[in-house]
Amino acid sequence: MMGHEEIESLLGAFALDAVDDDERQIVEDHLRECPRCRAEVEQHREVAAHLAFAGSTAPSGLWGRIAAELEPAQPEPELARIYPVRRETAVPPWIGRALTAVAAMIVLVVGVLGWQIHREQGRVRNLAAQLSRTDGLNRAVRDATLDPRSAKFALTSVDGKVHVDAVMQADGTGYLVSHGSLAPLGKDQTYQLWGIVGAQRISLGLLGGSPDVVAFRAAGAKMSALAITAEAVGGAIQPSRAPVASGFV
Amino acid sequence: MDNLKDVSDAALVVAIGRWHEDALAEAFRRHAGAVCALARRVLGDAALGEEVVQEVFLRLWSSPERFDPARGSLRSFLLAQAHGRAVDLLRSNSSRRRREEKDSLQSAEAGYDIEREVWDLAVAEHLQDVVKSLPVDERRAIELAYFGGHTYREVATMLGQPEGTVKSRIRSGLKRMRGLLADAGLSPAATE
Repeated sequence: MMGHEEIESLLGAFALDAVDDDERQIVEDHLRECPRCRAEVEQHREVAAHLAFAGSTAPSGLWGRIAAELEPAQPEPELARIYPVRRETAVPPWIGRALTAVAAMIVLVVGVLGWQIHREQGRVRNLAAQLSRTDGLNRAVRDATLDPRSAKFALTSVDGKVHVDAVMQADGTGYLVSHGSLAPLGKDQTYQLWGIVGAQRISLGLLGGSPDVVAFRAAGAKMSALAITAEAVGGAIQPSRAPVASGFV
Repeated sequence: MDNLKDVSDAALVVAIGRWHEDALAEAFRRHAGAVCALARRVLGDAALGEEVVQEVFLRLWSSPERFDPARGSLRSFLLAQAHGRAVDLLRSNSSRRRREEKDSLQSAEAGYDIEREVWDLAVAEHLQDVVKSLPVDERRAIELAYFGGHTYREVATMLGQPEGTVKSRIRSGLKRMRGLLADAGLSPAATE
C-alpha cells in the first residue's frame, strides 16, 4: 500500500502518462479522494500543454473525416445532453433526499446547464450595463458599437480566459471593454496595447493596471491585429512579454 | 450559433453539448493543430497521429461532459487526451520505432493557425527561454517522458539514473516550469 507521500512523488510522471499501469491505477484511485493531488495533476497538465505548444495547422481533410463520423444532431429538447455533470457543488444535498435518482440527475443537468447559460448571459448583461452608463466614454463606446462602419472584434487569450471586446471606428478611434477579464496587475506594472502593422508592433498606449473601458487612437496605419501585454510601469518600446490577449482586426 | 470565434472555450463545449456541430468545428480550428502536432510527435507517425486527433474530437462530441472547465483549459484537456491515447498506442506497438529525440520547440511545424499567430510567435520565444532555463537533468527527463512516451522507469534506464531521482526530477521540473511560465506572464499563474 502506497502512502500519500509516495503517491505525491508520482504525480509529475503520472500527469505525463509516464507511469506503469499498476501505478497509474493506484494514482487514479487516490485522485478520486484527494482534491489537492488532483489540483497538482491539473497544474502539471497545463504546464505540459505549454510544452506541447507546437501549434501547427491540422492537415486538410482531417476535419472532413471527423464531420463525416459525427452522430446526427439530436432532436429537441436541446437540454437532452449533459454538460458538465461533474461539478461537485451544483446541487444542494436536500435534492438527493427529496427526489429519485433519476429526477435528481435531471435537476443536475438542467441546473448546471442553466448555470452555464446564466454565465454567458451574465457576460452580455455586463457588457450592456457597461455600455449604458451615462459617462462620456461609455456613451462613445456605445455609439461606436452601433456605427455600422466600425470594426468589431475581440482580443482573447489562447485558453479563452481573457476576452476583451474591441471596436474601431473608421477614423481610427478605438475602444476596449475588458469585462474584468484582465487580471489586475501590481502597482509596478501596466497593460500596454500594441497594433500590428506588417511585421511591426506599434505601441497604441498604456492601459493601466486594471483597465475596464479604454479609448485608443490607431489612425494613419492599417492595423492587422491588436495585442495586449503586461509591461513595467512606463511601458516598453517593444513588447517584452507574450501577449495576454490578441486578435485580428 | 453566431460569432463562435468570439466565445470562450467553455461556452464552445456547452454548445457542443447541445449538438452544435459548428462549435466542434471551432474547437477543432482552435486546438487541432497543437493536438495533431503532439500526437504525431509522440507516435512518430503522421497517419496514426491523425487517427488520435480524430478520436479525441469525436470523443469530445460524444462526451463533452468529460471536460470540466473548472479543472483546466480545453487545450490542456484535449492534449492530455491525445497524449494518453498516443502513449497507449505506442506501448501496445511491439515494433515501436526508436526515434531521435529532438528539442521540443525545434520540431514545431510551420503553418500556425493564422488567428493565433500573433500570440504563438511571442509565446514561442518565451517558451524557448523557459525551457532553456530548466536544469538539463529535469528538461531531459521531461522531454523523454512526454515526447518520447517513455515511463519514468524507462527514462531512468536510458539516462542511467535511479528511478526515484528521475521521478523527482519530472515533478520538480514541471513545478519549476510552472513558476517560470508565470514569471513570463503565461497562463499557469491564472489557475492558482
